[in-house]
Amino acid sequence: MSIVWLLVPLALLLGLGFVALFIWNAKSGQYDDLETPALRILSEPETKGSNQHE
Amino acid sequence: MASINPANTSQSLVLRGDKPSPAGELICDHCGKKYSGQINESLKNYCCNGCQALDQAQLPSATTQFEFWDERAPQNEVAIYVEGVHCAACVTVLEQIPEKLPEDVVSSILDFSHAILKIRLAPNAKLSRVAHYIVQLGYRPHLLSEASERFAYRSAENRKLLIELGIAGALSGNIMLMSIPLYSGASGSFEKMFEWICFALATPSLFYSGRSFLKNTWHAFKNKSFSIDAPIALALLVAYFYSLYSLIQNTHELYFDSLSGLIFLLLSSRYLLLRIRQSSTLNLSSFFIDPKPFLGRVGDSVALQNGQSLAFDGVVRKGFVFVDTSKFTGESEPVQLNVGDSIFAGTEIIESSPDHIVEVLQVHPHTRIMKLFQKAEEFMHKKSNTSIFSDKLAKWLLVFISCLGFVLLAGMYLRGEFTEGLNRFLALLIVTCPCALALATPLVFVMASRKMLEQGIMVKDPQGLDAAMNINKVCFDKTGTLTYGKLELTRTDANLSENQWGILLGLCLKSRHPVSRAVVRYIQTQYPSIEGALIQDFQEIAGKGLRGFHNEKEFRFEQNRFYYVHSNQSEFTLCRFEFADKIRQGVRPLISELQSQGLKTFVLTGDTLENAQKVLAGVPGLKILAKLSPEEKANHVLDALMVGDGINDSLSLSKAKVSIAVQGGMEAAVQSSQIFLTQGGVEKIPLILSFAKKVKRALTLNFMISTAYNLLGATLAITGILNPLIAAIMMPLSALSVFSFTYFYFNYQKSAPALEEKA
Repeated sequence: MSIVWLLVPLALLLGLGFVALFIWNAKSGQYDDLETPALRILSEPETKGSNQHE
Repeated sequence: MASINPANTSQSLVLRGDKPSPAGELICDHCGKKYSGQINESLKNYCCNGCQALDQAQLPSATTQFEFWDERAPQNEVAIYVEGVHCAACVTVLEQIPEKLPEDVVSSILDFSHAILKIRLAPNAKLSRVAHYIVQLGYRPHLLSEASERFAYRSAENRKLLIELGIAGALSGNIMLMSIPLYSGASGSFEKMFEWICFALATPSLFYSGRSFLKNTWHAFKNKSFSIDAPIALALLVAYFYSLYSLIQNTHELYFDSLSGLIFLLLSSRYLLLRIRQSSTLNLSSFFIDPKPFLGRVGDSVALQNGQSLAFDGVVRKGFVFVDTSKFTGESEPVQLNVGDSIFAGTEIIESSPDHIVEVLQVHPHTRIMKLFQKAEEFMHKKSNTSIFSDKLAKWLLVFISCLGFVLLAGMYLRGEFTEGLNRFLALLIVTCPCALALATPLVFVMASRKMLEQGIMVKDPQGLDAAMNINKVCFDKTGTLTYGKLELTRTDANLSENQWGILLGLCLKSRHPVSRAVVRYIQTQYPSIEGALIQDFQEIAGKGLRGFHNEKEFRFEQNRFYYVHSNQSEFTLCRFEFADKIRQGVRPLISELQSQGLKTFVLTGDTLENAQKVLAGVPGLKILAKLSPEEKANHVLDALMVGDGINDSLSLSKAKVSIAVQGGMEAAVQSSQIFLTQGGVEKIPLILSFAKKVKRALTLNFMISTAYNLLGATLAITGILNPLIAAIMMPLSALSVFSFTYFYFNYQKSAPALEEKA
């Protein structure tokens, strides 16, 4: 059972990693506009480079 | 527009020849996008209804309108509210601007749900060119000042709440996981470890994610009031410190799991509500639309250009000036100002005597128009601060519940059952959380706003709907509200040859006078093939009319009469015209509809009684109050529903009990009104009233549901049947029941079908 002493902190660390990832996602604005990107993908780009995010 | 349309038509005709199949690839005549679908029986094809509406709508003339956009302080990023964004093709065409205008625009990104285009400008860019291009695409651009900062602020706020929510979720999930060993009987050092882990995870959950509850309560407490979050904060703190105490005392009475779960659930409902609200109402009042800058100083004497829109208040010192004050007073007839007359910012100069001089008396932001803006803002602010009944009730309920809780706790303590008492105390505070009650009111308004938006009614301030339930007086502005707001040719005895029409068109095309514009519109719609003839020695004589030579003959258009002058100075009349502002369609049925509901109807106008009666003839029961200044108008509407547009209405709109702005009005009206019609016309007003009744019913029912729920919960908690964990589950359930009731109420109930058909 002493493996629990290792596994529990590992599990928490893993969780922390995902939380960090989520914070980065949110801070870089990926959840700001959930509607436009879905429409943006519908149009064929005539030339590339116009629709890039900031 | 008129000159572009025939070309488009021929294009689609060619296309039809190429592809005889009824369903095939077509090109939208508005946005130029390829789409597949049925060929339209009419001459033009559109990929969607939105494009059709935009293509057929009248667009603002894009000549000088946007030049002042270039006079702004140089900025490399601007935000533009683009009126008319409606489908995926809009995203494409608007985001292709950098390719079309590479000298001006580096990048353009559209926020579809808010119809806001963020543009990064190239150095030395001309913003007016961008505006023209957007107009050509078929949208109306509105420049938002400071918008980039405000917009950034808003999204930063959203992000912050989202991060808080995400962290609360992660923590609560992990605490639940770590609690499983505790519930299933871990002992010894394992039990200690899991307990301390729960504590370590619950701490950031409360003090980071849940800090808004604590903060709100503390701020309210400092201001000697009671926040709606207070019992939540109290329950959270008591649960947290009691758990910490028992952790140290080794009594294993931990509430960390219910505590963090509660925070997560509360935050999610808050975030959801915020998102729904932001997506369904566009809050224009959070943006300020740029005033035109003026570089002069008080005391300067200046000469004015025709077509210029004035940016300062002044007084005429010499000569005379003809101005179009429709933006300011809402009335369409041009006004002559002589020496000593005041002239205000926001008026447009039509003509002026060559020797005129105007002295500057006030510059921005001290102009009369800005004062109207400011007053309107003040009243808006006052209105939004009046708390609604349910808020007050919820507060009293909170105070009562908290007192009850402490009495309960004290009683149980005296009986020696402190732990059980604490359980019941927590359960009571949690289960009676009035968030269902607090949620109900905004939720009803949000759902109603959404439904109304589908009908072209934009509710900016839901309290307008609230107040619309008890009014008995409806006031209308005349120009632009009950009428179309521009002069139209109503009668003519014209029997002209094509050549003569051409000469008249040539004359009128050179002038910006409302009468000339009405003639141009008339000729272009009645005789689209006629082109303006060449006019030489054109003269526009202020207060009289137009003169010009065509083929050595002098033609004049003066006093609504078109004639030519022989060499012996005798005049030969070709035709006469009559002009008037036209009453909107649907005004008559609207007025009788309102009167059948027992409402009194008034018209408030700055125009003369005679003019108003002429235009509104044949509408029975409409009482006309004429010759009113904006300030006088405002005094008439204190207890009324006001329908208006134009800047002169912004004060009365903001003072009115309920304010509705119809489209075509200035941004000011939009900012000061509570309800805004996206399609011009007044037919939707009975629909708004029926929505208001519906909202009232929904509010009452919701109130009853949440009260019953709270009473039941409180009884169960006090008698000890409910433990805190179940209370924590029940609490969001009550919010959910209110939510689902409201949703079904607005989506699956046939509401006043007769009214909807009429509208």
